[in-house]
Amino acid sequence: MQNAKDTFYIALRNRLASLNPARAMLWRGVQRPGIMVEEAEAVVAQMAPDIFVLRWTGLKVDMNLPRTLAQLDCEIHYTTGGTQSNGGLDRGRALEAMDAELVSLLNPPSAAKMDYTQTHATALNSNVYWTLPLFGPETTIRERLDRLVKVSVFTYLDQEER
Amino acid sequence: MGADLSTRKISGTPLRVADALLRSLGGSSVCLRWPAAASDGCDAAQIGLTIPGFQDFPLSPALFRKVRVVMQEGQPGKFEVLISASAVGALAGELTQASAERLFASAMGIAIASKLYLVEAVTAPELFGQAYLYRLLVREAQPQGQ
Repeated sequence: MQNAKDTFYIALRNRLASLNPARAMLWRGVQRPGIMVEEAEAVVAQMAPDIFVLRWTGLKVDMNLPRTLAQLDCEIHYTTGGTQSNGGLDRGRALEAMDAELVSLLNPPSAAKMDYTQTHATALNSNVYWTLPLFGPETTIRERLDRLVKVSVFTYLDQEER
Repeated sequence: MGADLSTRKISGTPLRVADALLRSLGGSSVCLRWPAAASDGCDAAQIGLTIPGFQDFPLSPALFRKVRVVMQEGQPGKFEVLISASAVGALAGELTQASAERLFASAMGIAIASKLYLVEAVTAPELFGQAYLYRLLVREAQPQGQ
């Protein structure tokens, strides 16, 4: 299942890098696309604005099939306060831009599953695919707008993963 | 309607006074735990496969004290750390960080006597727009596996 989580993140990260290179963050001293996996990073008191944060939640496994099917639930969180030069008055537009970006990132809804534990990532014999995004309501916390989007990621477990 | 347009010369006095105060109150040393950036650009570092090395940078003078909060079951203790702004400024420069806020945001936490504390909030009292002290609200990190 870890391969599916890694593949999903790397697919979205690579798509974001080509879709909007300006959405970048300086994290742990390195400039990288503005998306990260929460469980693979240091604990922070407050979520960084203007980036996508992936949080893995539910897990379901169906073994009554010729190949074991795993469903992993992913929450994508993002928050924005708009831009300083506009006094934050553009925060609604900034959130909408992130909504639109996320729709583009999640399309096409599949990627070839890779094993990133090897020195050079190797392709496995199955794909990772995911559902349409389920957008939660826009919430306001002080001067920031937050959004939570839910996506279910599916994959068949390969022989090497069992 | 008027504005005070007189100029004020910014000097290092508030910083020196704050440092002297921290030392006189038993100022000690705390360490900022900083992740090494060498491998963080690769895929493995971003999915939690390769763990960067950590380096502790001492900050002093500093004061570490327990915050008086209502005790709640299962909640970790909270503490306050007061750190000299001159030490923070020097370290931010050394680590090429644009600001102290950026420095604390990028750090893994504060190590005190080999124990890690996570930074929950940072404030900086200022005089004439110059921070002379950094006040950090930290909490004990939960125990982790060996």
